[in-house]
Amino acid sequence: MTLPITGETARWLAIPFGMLFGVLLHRGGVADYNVIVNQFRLRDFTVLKIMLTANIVGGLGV
Amino acid sequence: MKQNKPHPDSDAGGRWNPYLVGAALGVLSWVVFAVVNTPLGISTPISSAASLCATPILGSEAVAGNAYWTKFPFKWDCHLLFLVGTFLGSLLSVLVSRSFRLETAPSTWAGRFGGSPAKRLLAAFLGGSIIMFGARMAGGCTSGHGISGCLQLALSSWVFFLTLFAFGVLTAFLLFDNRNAASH
Repeated sequence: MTLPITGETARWLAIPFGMLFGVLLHRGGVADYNVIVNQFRLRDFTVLKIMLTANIVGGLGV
Repeated sequence: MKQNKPHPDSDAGGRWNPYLVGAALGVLSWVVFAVVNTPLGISTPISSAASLCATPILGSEAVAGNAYWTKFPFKWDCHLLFLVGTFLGSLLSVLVSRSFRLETAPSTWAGRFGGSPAKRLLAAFLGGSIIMFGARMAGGCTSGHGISGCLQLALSSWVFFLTLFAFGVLTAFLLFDNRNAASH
């Protein structure tokens, strides 16, 4: 699906979309060194919870 | 503002439910695919921007002759603007949740390797270099492959993600002493 928003408008919309991405990564905790390391140490499953939910929800719409 | 900390090792305040964040990321990927017509990803513009740093070192001829930078030249395209937005958005989020602070050695790192800023910065630089090298070799990073590729059920992305996870666990268990966890 491609919406009729193209060219320059779509390009500049990448900034607010990126901002949403940044907010979600930070608030999800996956911008935190400790969260990432402790995922690989199998102590904190935040990263996997976020990635798998994103994959399931994202996959439904793409 | 009361801040909830779902995990004792976490330094961040104001965390949201990981399933809600994941679902929101999924919805965001629909919108970005539909509007900007690109997968969520942030490693390609970093590699393209690296050509700016390489120019004074390698010379502009070497940069112009580089096959990768010819294919992905530095330009203010939607990928780079998305990366700028990611920086701004996370900065905004940190400021709003009042969790901004400068830190060289995160608690998990400091508990294992000590609080030396030089050691930590050197390790972070080395780790970042290895990550970017791997992300270019694979054609994507944790977001490009791990989310955008996997949700499209791209085989390469699932191979990437499972390999990343397996070796991440292996590396973490080699680097960190898991019997005497100093993190609590």
